[in-house]
Amino acid sequence: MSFDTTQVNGQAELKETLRTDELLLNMGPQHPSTHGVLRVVVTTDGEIVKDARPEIGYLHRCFEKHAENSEYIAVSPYVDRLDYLASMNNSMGYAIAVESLLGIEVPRRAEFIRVIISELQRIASHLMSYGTYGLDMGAFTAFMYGFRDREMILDIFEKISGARLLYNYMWIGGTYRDITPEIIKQIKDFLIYFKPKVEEYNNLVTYNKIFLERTRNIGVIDLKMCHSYGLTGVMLRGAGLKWDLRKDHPYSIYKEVEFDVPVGTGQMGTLGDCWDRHIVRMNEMIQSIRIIEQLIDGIPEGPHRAKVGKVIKPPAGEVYSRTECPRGELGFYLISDGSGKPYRVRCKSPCFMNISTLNELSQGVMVADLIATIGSLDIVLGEVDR
Amino acid sequence: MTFTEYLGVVKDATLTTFKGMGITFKIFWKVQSKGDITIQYPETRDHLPLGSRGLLFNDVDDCISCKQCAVVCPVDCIYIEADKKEAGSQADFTKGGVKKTLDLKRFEIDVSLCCYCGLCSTVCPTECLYHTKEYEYSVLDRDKHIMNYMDYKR
Repeated sequence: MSFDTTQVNGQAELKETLRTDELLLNMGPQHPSTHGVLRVVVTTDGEIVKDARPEIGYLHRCFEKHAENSEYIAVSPYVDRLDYLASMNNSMGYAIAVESLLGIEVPRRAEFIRVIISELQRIASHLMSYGTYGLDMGAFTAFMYGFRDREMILDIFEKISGARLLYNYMWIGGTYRDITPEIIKQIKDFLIYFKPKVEEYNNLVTYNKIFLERTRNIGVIDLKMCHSYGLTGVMLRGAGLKWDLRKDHPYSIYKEVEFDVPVGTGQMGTLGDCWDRHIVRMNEMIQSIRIIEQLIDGIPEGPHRAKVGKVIKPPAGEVYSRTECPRGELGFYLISDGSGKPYRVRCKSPCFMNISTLNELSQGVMVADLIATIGSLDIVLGEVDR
Repeated sequence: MTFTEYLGVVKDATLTTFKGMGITFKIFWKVQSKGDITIQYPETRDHLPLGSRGLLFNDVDDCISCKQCAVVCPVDCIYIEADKKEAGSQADFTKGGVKKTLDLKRFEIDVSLCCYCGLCSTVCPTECLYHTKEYEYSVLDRDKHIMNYMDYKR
């Protein structure tokens, strides 16, 4: 602020003591509400956020360069570590990309297992999002309940794949292990248990007045902004556009199952606000249950993995494949030069697009609303930095 | 905001909060009647399911030094050295009856690098390399995480 020297001493002194200035605030990388190692450099004017610049790169692991020096099958453990809350969906996307490069048909049993498991993973990922969003908004109970139910899904995954977080289960040509009747029964039990829970969570958090007041009309992303930033997934559906790759460009066996695409309606505030994105996630869990219920009884007999051989050598060429992950469209662009290692693996991650909107969303909002906005973007820094 | 609207907001907030508290207490009593559900870790341990991917183990008597595991490993943490067998030495077979043509000199895995992906145990032709259910092997010295499986030779 400019200092007026022409004034008398007393007034100048007063002005100096009451001097207002913008404050540079570092949020993260250790702050719990940044959902990982995200650092946001916030310029605040009192309680108002003037500018919020996300600093990324703390979790950069050179995924794309590593992939160029690994065999096709050895890339999939790296792919698991992109979005570590939805490993199954990630590795399914990569497997589909390599399979279309190889031109092989995946056995029907494997397709059924894949879709069931990836929908379970979607529920687990949305539960995590629901839990941490509740935690950001000050509802600790929601976090506990979300994690309790996610634990049941992780138990199923531990039985089927042998690991709890980074599964490496969706392999090129099928799956790592076969599904057993015991696991099918466990999935059915989980669905019976979980079905009424979504309604309960909605009553607990979603329609709570305090939660409503903190999330509605906050962080509004309209369709124009979605298109200019290239947002996909929940962001786009929260803004009111019915776009879901599982419906519009069906891969695997999504063509055969019936489900609705939940969209934001702006019923509690503005279309595309934080609350709309939250309700879209909650409704997607119900749709995922519907998909699993349709498939779980009709898993056909047969092999769970196609014969691909130990060394995978696709013909020279390139392919771009995209799948609908819990956080948006995950794309893989592969170039093969005919050798055993990929020439180039490019990963288009939805979280990077989501986090890039943060600066525009946080112009002139309160600091507390910035937390609400980051929470509703549902970012995973493993995927932003790769 | 008029006073009536303000009262409405207060009413909404109270009602929804009590609705949430009702759900919380319902679950709270259910859990109370069930007893402890937290596993008191060092005293009691959870049962790991079949096929859990823990510490790797290699039965060197069955290993034919084919190095397929070292090739497929995404983080290159398996170190194998093998020589040609000396001429005239006795023929050596694995339990499965596969003839060993190489003499294994070194088989080490740096488990601090291992990412437990399970690729090495899948490609192993004699199934001598497999994941155990062992998961408690923290050490103070990082060098001790280089597991030398030649020591376990029967």
